[in-house]
Amino acid sequence: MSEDSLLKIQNLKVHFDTLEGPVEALHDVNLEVKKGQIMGVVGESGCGKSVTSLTSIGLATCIVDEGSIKYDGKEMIFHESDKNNSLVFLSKILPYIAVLIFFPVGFVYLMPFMNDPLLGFQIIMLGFGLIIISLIIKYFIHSDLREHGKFMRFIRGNEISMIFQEPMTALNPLYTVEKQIYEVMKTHNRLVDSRLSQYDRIFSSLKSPFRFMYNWILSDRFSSIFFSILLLTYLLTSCMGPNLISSWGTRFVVIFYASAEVSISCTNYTDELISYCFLLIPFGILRASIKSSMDRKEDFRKMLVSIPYVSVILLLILWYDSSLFLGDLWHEELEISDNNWVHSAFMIAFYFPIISSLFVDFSRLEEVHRFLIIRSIPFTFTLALTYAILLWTPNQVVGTIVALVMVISIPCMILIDYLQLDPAHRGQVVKILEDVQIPNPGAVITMYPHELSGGMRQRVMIAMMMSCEPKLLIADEPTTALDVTIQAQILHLMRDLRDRKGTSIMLITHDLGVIAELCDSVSVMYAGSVVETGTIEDILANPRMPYTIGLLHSIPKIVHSDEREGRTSLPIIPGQVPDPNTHFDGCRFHPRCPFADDLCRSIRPEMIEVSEGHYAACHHTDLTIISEDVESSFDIFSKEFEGVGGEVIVR
Amino acid sequence: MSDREILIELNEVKKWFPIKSGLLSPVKNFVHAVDGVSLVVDKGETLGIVGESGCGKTTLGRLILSLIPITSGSIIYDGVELRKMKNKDIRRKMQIVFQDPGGSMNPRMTVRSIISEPLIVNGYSDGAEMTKKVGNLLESVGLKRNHMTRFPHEFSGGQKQRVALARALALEPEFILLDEPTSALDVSVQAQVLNLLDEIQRERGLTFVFITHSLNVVHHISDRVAVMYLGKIVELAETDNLFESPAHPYTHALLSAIPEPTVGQDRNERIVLSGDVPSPADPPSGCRFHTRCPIAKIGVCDVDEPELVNIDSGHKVACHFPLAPGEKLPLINNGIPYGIHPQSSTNASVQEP
Repeated sequence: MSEDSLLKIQNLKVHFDTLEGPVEALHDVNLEVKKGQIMGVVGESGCGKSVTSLTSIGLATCIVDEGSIKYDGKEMIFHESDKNNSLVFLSKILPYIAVLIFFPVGFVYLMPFMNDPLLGFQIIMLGFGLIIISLIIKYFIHSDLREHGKFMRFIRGNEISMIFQEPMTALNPLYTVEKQIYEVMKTHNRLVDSRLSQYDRIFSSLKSPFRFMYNWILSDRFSSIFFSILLLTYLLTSCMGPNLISSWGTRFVVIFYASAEVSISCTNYTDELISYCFLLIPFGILRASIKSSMDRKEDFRKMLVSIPYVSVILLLILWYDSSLFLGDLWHEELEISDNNWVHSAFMIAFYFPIISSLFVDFSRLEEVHRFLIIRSIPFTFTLALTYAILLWTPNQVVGTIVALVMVISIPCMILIDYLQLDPAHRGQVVKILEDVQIPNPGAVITMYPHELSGGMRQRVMIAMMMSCEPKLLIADEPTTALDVTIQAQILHLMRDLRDRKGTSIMLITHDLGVIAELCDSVSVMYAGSVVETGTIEDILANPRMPYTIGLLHSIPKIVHSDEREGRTSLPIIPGQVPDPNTHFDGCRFHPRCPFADDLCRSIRPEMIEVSEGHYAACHHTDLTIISEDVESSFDIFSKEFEGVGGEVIVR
Repeated sequence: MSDREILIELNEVKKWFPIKSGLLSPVKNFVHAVDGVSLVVDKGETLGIVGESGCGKTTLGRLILSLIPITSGSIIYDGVELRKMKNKDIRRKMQIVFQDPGGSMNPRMTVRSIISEPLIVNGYSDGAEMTKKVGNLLESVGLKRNHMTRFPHEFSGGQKQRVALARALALEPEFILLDEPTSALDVSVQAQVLNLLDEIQRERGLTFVFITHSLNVVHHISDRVAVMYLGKIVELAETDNLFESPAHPYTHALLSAIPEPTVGQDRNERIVLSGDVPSPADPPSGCRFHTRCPIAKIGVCDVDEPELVNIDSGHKVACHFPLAPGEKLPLINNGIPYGIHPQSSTNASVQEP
C-alpha cells in the first residue's frame, strides 16, 4: 500500500500564533493521496481543508506541533536537528558583547580629550569582527534549514502544484497571460532554446514603443483628430514667424510624427536591418539641422544645403513605406519560408514599389490591407512634410525634442521588455493553452487576466500548473466561483488531465456534488480533523459518521413531484461549527450529534475501520449502519435547538 | 387559476448600460443586461430566477425594486406603475436581502441600530417601543433578544444573513427580493436559512423573488422558476414542471450540469456545453443560445429570435424547437462542435460527457 501512496499526512497538528493566543487549526489529520488518484477533501468553511493543503507544500504560516507529511517517501516538514549548544549560545551572545562593551569603549577613545584615537578605532573594528563571527556561526548552524528551503522550492511547481479558488487573485493583473506562463516555465527550467538571439530581442523591444505610438495614433479616432488639429495649428503658426516655433504644441507634433515614422519602418518584422537603418534618419536630420544653424546669417545657403537631404529623405520614405506594405502582402501570399533564396530575390525586387505593384493582385487583397495602404498614403506625405519642417527648426527646439523623446520612450522600453517573448517560447505557451482547450490560444496569450471570463482564467491557471508537469495537483476550491456549466467543463478538464498524464489530484471543496463528479476517494473533515475517509461509494452511499450523514441529508435534493408532499422543510444539522479554540475532551461533533453520550463527551474517538478502506471516527458506528435512522434522529434532535439562535451549546 | 392575484407585472422591461470609450467620445455600445423581460409575480408565491453569472438576473431584481432606472418598458406593482410611485412607498412595500450579509451592513452600527434604521426613516420614534420591536424581529428570525447590542462582525455568516432578513422584515413589506441569500453560506447553514425563509413566508404571507444560480435551492424554495440567459427569459414554468420536463435545451443542459452527491445509476448523464456565455455587449443574432446549442439549426436559430410562447398551461419557453417531455438532448454530436459558430476562432472541441 505504501508504494503507491504519493502524499501521506499523519497525525498532523498545527496552530497559528495570534495576538490573542494560539489558535489550533488542525487537531488530527490523516490523509493519503495515492498515485493517479483523485482524492477529495470536503468540509464546511473553517474546518481546516485549506490549512492542510498549504501546510503540505510548506506555504502555511502556521506552526507544526506534531505529525509528518511524506511526499513519495520524503519528509516535507522541517525537523530541527540537534545542534551544538555552545555554538548556538556563542552566536547569540557575541553581538551583545560587541554592542554593550566594545562599541562604547571604542567611542570613548575617539573623544577629543583622549590621546589615542587609533586604539578606539581598533576596538570598534573588533566589535564589528565579533558580529561578523556570530553571523558566520549562524550561517553554519542553519545550513539544514537552508537545505530544506531549497528542497521545498524544488518540490513546489516541479512535483506539487496548486490552483486556487479565485483565479483573478492568483493571476497578476499587470502581466499578459503568455508572460505569466513563461515566467513559471523559466523559473522551473522548462523552456526550450530560444530562436532569436538576445540582441535581436533587445532591438525588437527598443523599437516597440514607436510601434505602440503609431498604433495608438491610428487606432483611436479621437487622438488622430487631435493630432491633425495640432499639426494644422503648427503649420499655420510656423508661417507667421520663428517665435512660435518652440511652443509646446509644436514639440508634441514633431515628436509624435517623427516617432510614428520610425514605427512605420519597424512594422515589418522580417527585414529588421532596414528598419534599424531608418532609425538613423532622424539623427541625420538633426545633424544637418545643427550644422546649418551654426551660422544664423547664412539662411539662404542653409536652405540650399538642405535641399538634397530633403529630397533624398522624401524618396526614401515613399519608397520604403509602400514597399513595406506590399512586401508584407507578398510574403503572406507566397508563404515562402525565410531561408529560401527565392524569397530574398523576390524581396529585393519588391522593395521597388512600382515593380511590386505590378505583381500584387489588388483584387485579391483583404479589405483590411487595402484600407491600410490607402490610409498610409496621406500619412506618409504628412511625415515628409514634418521632416522638412524639422530641418528649419532652431537648435534648442531639436534638443528639447530629443530629450522629450527619450523621457517618453524609456518607460515604454522598460514596459515593452516584458511584452517581448521569444517565438519559440511563445509556441510553447500556445501549445499548453491548446492542451487546456482554450479556444483561439493565439489571441488569448496577449490578453490580460481581466479580459478573460472566469472559466478561461481558471483554465489559464490549470495551464500554468500543467507547464511544469507536476505529479500532484492540489486544487483548492477550483470551481466554487464558477457557474454550473463552466464548472462542468473545468471538472471534465481535470479528469482528462489525470487520465492523460496520470497526475494525482487533491481536490478541496465544500460541494459534495463536485466530489461525486470527480473523485475516487473522499476524506470528510470537521473542525480540524478528518472524521471519515473511504472510497466515493463508501462515503456517498454508505456514510457512517453522523456528520457526513447530516451533511448529505441537508443538501436540497431535486425529487419528483410524486415523492414530494408539498414543500417540506429542509433537514438540518443543528448548531454551528465550533470555535477552533473550544476545548473538547471527546468528539468535536458531539454538541451537534443526536447520539452523543458520556463516552462521546469524554473520550476522543479513533478512526475505526468499518469496512475495507472505509474509516470513520465515531464511537457509535453500530448505530449508523442505516442512514435513514440517523436522518430521522437528526430531525428529532434539531427540534430541541429551536429558539436557541443557532449557537453551539457545549453540553 | 382564478385565485391568483397579480402583484408585480413586468412588460418588456429593458435595461441597457452604456459603454463609454473616453472622456469626450460618445457612447460606443450598450450592455444589454436585461433585454425585454415580461413576467408576472403572483401574490404569495415564490418566483425563482436562475441563470449563469452575467445573465442579468441581479439587474432584473434591482429593476423590480427600482434601485436603478429602467431603459424602457414598464413595471406595474399592485396596479400602479412603479415609476409613478414615491420612493418611500416602494421601499415600505418592497425590501431586499443581499448576497453578502457582511457587505450590506455598516460594521460600526450595532444590530439594534441596523434593524431600527428603516423604521426611524419611516417615522417610528426611537425608544423602549423600538427595542421591543427589534427584539421581536430578532426572535422571529431565530436570534436571541440580547443579540441586538452586538456588532455585525461578532456573528457568523448564517447569523448575519438572519440579521439582514430581520432588517428587511422590519417595515412589514409585502414583497422581498432575495438576491442570492445563501450562496455565501455553507450547506448545513444554508439549510437552516432556507427553512427560516420558508417559515417566514408561510407566517406572513410574503411574496418572494428568489435570485440564485443554484438549481437545488431554487427547486426547494420556489413555486415557479424563470430561467434567464443573456438578459432574456428562456423558460418559465412551475417548478415541478420545469425540473421534470425542461423544454429549452439550455435548461436541459443546466439541469444536467448540477453536481449531485450520488453514485452509481442515480447519476444523470452530463451535457457539457462548449464555450462561454457570449458578451452581453454584443449578443448573438437570432436566438441567443444558438452559439452553444446542441440542436441549433442554421438558417432558423441564428436568424429569427424566438418568442416566449405557451407550450403547456403556465409553461412558457422561448425556443424554435422545444423539447417534448422525456426527450433527451443528443449527447455526442459526431465531432461537430455544439452550436453554430460564425467564426473559426470560437470553435471549442466537443467534450464528451
